[in-house]
Amino acid sequence: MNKNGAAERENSTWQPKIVAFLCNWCSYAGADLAGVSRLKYPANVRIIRVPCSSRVNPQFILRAFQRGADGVLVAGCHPGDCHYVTGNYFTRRRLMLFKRLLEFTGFAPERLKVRWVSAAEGGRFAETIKEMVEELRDLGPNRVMREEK
Amino acid sequence: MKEITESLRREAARLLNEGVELFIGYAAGTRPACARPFFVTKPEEVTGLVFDPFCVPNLVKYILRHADKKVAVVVKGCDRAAVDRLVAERHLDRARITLVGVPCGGMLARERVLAELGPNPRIEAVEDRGPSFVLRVRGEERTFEKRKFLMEKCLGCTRNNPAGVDVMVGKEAPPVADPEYDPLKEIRAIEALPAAERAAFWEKVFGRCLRCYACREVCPACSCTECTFEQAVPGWQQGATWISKAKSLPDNYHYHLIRAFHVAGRCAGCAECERVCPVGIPLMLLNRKLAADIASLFGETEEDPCGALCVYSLADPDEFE
Amino acid sequence: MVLKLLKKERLLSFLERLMQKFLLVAPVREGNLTVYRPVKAAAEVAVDAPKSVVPPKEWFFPQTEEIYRYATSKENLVLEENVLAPPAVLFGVRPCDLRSFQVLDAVFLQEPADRYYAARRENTLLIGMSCNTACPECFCTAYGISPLKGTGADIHLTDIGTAYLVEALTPKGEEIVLQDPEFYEEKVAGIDEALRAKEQALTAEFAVQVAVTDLPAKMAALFNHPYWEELSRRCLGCGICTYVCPTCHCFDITDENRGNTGKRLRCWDACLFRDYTLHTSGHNPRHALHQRLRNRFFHKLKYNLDRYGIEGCVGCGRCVALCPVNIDIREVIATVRGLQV
Repeated sequence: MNKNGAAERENSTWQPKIVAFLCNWCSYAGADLAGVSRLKYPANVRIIRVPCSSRVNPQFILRAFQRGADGVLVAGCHPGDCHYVTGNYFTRRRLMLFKRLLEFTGFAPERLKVRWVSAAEGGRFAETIKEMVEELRDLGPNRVMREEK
Repeated sequence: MKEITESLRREAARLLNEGVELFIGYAAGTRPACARPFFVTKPEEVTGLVFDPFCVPNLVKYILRHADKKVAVVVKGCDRAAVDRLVAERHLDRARITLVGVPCGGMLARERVLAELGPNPRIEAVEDRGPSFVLRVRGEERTFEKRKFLMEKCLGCTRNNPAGVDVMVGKEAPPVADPEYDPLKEIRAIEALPAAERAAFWEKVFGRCLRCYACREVCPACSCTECTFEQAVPGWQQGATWISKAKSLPDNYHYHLIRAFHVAGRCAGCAECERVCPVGIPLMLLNRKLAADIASLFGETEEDPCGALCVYSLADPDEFE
Repeated sequence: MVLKLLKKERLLSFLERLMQKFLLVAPVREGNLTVYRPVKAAAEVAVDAPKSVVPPKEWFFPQTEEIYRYATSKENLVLEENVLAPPAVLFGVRPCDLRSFQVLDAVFLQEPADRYYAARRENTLLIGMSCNTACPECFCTAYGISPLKGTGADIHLTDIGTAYLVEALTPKGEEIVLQDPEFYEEKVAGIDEALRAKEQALTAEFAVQVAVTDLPAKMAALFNHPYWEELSRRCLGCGICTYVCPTCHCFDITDENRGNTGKRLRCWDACLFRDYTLHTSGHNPRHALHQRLRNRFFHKLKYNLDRYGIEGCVGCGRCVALCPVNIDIREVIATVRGLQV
């Protein structure tokens, strides 16, 4: 992390921003369940509902980093449980590769997380966000690709 | 190289007489140690055709511009794979194209050769002697050892005699690959760096990008009729496009990561993107890195001719929890 | 005109002295590339560097330039304009690039003058540098440019072995040279002859001698000639030739909006791009590649001369050296002059 990042982290007002792309059928419902179950998780996440995790064009992820996200979460149904039968198998392959490309070009691996969260796993969703916020706090703000204000 | 050039001209004349409407090959360029794409429509024009170790351009993409014609095109081994891709993606009708294969003894790295010969040599003849090329300059023979003077893409090449062509010109060429060449050496060196240093490396090279889009225009795998980065809209609507016309590091990053990712699993490895870049961005590092990851994660066998990202396997590693 | 000699070992202190007052923009090496950029230390300057890929016009006419930024709220709209024109020295400009500024001046300084360009041009002292070698793609003499003359510069340096011949060509330049007399020595006899010999030797190094007479008339008659379509067959339609050209000046205006704030930006455009001259209606008067490629050569070789009385090409050879498919303007000129109308 560069000096600026460290300084900004020291500054206690800094909070990591997470953009989460959640599949409509499993993970969004999982987040919903976390809500109705009144589970506590950090408010650092902005959720974008997508029809399927395979709808997440890697350009969405890059755009999020460009516009100020410190971490991106892509969540979908567990492999085998896709509403569209095979969508998340494509996600898995695509994002495994894309994550490696991001790492290769300078992103810390923690910045992009892919998780399978079912509609019944409200607790797992809350845990995922907690975990990401902690990891990103340690890393500090993302600088790679970020637009200047 | 005289024999190849002569039989190439013979074959071209024959094909043009037999109904091929356009023959795409190489002609000598206006600069030393440089060849250019050359388009022949009449048998009497075939005398302009040449083949030598400076015939680097991949001609396959030009076929896309002539969808209505019977076309013959000269392919080296590394160019050959691009044809299969375009056929698989139904951009090309294989029956309409005649592939003219040339045995390739490797392509010489122009800058390195000119560093030896001076900036403006008159190269009178080129001869392939197996482990080296001999160039005649002002009557004097100059030997260029392939291990030292070939382009990087040739050092790991195992396909210098193109397979599955319609016409093969000349004799089979001996292998050119250097057994000591390690295509992943630089990639591993970058991977070993801490994230911040990796970012610094790529920020420097991506920062140079002029966004002239030569890497896209030359790439036979970049075959979309409309590029995701070229949704032509008036200036005041450009905020809605993926990247702005304005040059900025974040947009340069975006362009290069997505360009590399869009050709992942489809890149034929002809390295044209890197050759044409006016500011020397090492694009093949990205392409080779992705190819290596695809091979190690999903195996070498690709069930779908459209590339590794158009398919999945239940047996893919499940590293995401 | 003031003529002096500056010993080579004094160049660094000469540059450092300039840096006290000015931002120094000079050629530096980045890997195998030469780029013009502001330097922090005079030692960074690559005095004998080969020609830059991106021409120094970038200093006056950057690839992306903020025209203004805006912020809106319920009640009002705030516009903020920053014309960035620090007092600067653009050092080490080659004679061909010096001529290119005259070409750009004709475009940007005609009334109403472009104030972004004009402000930087006004606040920049130009220091030219003669060429020591000819690149194989050079043909500046075709346009009457001498690789050893600093026409257009405030101060011009020419390498004469152990020293530079320093010519102060404008009052601005003279002021700079005269303020530090201790740096210089007086000109010695015999230099003029030596320079003439050097100029001849350099010109003889040019791989191709190009003649440009009668081009506009010839071009006019060839607008519909099939040559342009033939030439465009191998053209990739990339923007290399225009982006490395010291005289290309087409631009596009784009807005980058981020919620309630945004910027209006001026960005280089290239006539080879598909969306060049694309109308909002969807119509494009130059929809085919050969029309766009033809436009490039007509602009360089005819339109510019018709409109401003100065050729749109300076013979720097960058497009020749960098075109991936060897579209060579020297060859185009020769072909056009030889074609039957």
